[in-house]
Amino acid sequence: MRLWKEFVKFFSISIFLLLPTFALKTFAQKQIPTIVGISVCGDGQIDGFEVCDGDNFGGKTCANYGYNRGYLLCVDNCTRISIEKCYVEPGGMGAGGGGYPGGAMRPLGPTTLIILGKAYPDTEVKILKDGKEIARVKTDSQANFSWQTTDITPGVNSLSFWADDKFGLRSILYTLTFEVMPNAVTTVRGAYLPPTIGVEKNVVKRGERLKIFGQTIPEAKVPVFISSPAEIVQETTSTKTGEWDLLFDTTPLTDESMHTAKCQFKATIEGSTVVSGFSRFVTFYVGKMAPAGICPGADLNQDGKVNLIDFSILLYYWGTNNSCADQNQDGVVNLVDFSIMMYYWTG
Amino acid sequence: MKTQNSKIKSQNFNLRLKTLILALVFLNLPTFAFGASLYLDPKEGEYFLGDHFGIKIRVDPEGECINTISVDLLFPNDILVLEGIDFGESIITIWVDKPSSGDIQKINENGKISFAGGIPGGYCGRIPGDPGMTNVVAELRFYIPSMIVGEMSEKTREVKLLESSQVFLNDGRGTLAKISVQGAKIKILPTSGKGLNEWKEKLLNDTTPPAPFEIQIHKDSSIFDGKYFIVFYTTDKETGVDYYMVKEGEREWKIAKSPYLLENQNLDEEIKVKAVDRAGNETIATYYPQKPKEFKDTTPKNQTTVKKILSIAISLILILVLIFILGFLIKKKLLNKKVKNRSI
Repeated sequence: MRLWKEFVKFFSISIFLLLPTFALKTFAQKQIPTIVGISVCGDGQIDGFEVCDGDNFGGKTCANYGYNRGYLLCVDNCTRISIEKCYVEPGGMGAGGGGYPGGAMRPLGPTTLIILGKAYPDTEVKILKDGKEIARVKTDSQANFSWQTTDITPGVNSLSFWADDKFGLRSILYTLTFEVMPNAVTTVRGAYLPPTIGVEKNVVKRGERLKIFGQTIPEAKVPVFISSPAEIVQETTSTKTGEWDLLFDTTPLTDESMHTAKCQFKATIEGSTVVSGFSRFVTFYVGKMAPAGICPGADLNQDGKVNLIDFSILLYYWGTNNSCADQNQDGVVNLVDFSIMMYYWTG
Repeated sequence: MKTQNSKIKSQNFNLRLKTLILALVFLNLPTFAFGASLYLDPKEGEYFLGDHFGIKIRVDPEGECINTISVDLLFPNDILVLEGIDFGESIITIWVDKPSSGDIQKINENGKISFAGGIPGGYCGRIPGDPGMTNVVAELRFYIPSMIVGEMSEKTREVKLLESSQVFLNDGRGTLAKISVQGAKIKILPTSGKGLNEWKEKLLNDTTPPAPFEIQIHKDSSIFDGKYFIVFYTTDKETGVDYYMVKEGEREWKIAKSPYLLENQNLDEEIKVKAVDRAGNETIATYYPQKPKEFKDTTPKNQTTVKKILSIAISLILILVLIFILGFLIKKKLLNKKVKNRSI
């Protein structure tokens, strides 16, 4: 009996401790993906936000709309069923199904890609394909952006996005790798850029308040994660124009050491709770003097961009101890430094 | 009585402590996870002599976001011949080290394949709704020579992904992910197969050249002694870019890698870069000089000499005329002085 009691106690303590620890570890180690999804209009399958696809109307015919003749059309990239070709014929024998009449083949459309996402209000989103900038689009006051192209090769494509906010802070490079189907419309929804983040000062005295700020989508919750021996999480909310800030009391942080802060947004979008990926991390020093950073952010030629030129410089110094290319200062330019460059890539 | 109570209390405390320690151990076990896994697909297969087949190297980030992959792989080169490596479907976009078709012979001699590259912004796994698996790093195309037909016994060998393979997290710190690797078992049956070569067919059917690209000219005081160099890069979604070639002005085409130090630092010649895919399709990018080419005198030598003589003669005549005028003026001045002196 005593053994059973101890077992129950052991189990309850384990569950009690397991849940928060698991949650903490998940937050600390993994990037939580946003609700990003792909639907392919033209593959005959109704998926994602689609209501029809090609001749597939999910069993619906003109009869479902009160007609007894004609056929349905799948329009607006599979997001709307058109009854334009449905009609009523007195004494008609019944409604036709969906799709093209007489079993005619639907003409093959161009390979099309549509991206729908959010960044920051009234900014410009840079779009990269396979690491090279191919387009720029404006966001509206609600931070929405959309981009459509037919200039895309079917197959595996890597589309990346980044933007500068109203403070000049840069987002992470948000990359989506997926297959583009030939002669179909591939729609990617939920390309949400994580918030931008910056700190008012790079060096603060312990106990001083540090302003951490940035921009994200309007009226979203912004949890900010500050590294210390144990991660500190504080939450704030963005304004109607997406700006957010947090006055963080640095008392709990270790003195004379570097610390990092990162954030994400949480919001309800189209009825779903969306949690963005993590922002860039910003570093700040708590203490008197911070060590100087050499070529920070993998911008090896200091031109404000991280692209093929910086990659070329990195390759030039590969295997050497060049202090600029050696981003992690471990004495050798290698894959670790390349990985840091991939993180900061702007194209 | 008091001692007994304290003894019980102490026992209870010890038990609670043990329970807490056990609980902590217990809760840490299930949260341990690999950062990513590199695996071969299919993980086992039966093949016949003369067969051509492919093995895909795939990556599963297992919930993490990764941005750099380095693969080291060993294959039994005594029974398998590597015909080619298909990077067309690869999620890697920027390559640090990628074997070209020209390296295949050497790879077959060593039985070892290595390559590394990255994905700007990272790769966080398959997106819901993606019609493809979209996690291929590369596809290795092998051939089993029918020459070993004399050895009639069945053979099982392994294509191994080495522990030295690396995957880095997309965290801006270059953190090495914990990885698990899984190879593939190849069973070779001692009978002749169909000999269908899918790789050859793919190469024949690939008529799409690499994507159009640009040549960028730069110079940076930190590299190549501040001299001009070019950078170039493109992709090929079918079979992958195999190699690049550079041609400066009237010089010969040269196999090159980006960055490429220009021979002609005057930038007054056309520069061409050719991207060739594994099927041999080409896309050429051209840089046209912004500075007009310096004028080169192309008139025949004889004419030049006559012109030179004429110009020298004219100059001499002019000089003589000047001397004559100057002499005349001086003489006139002197005569005037003499006349003045006499009158005084």
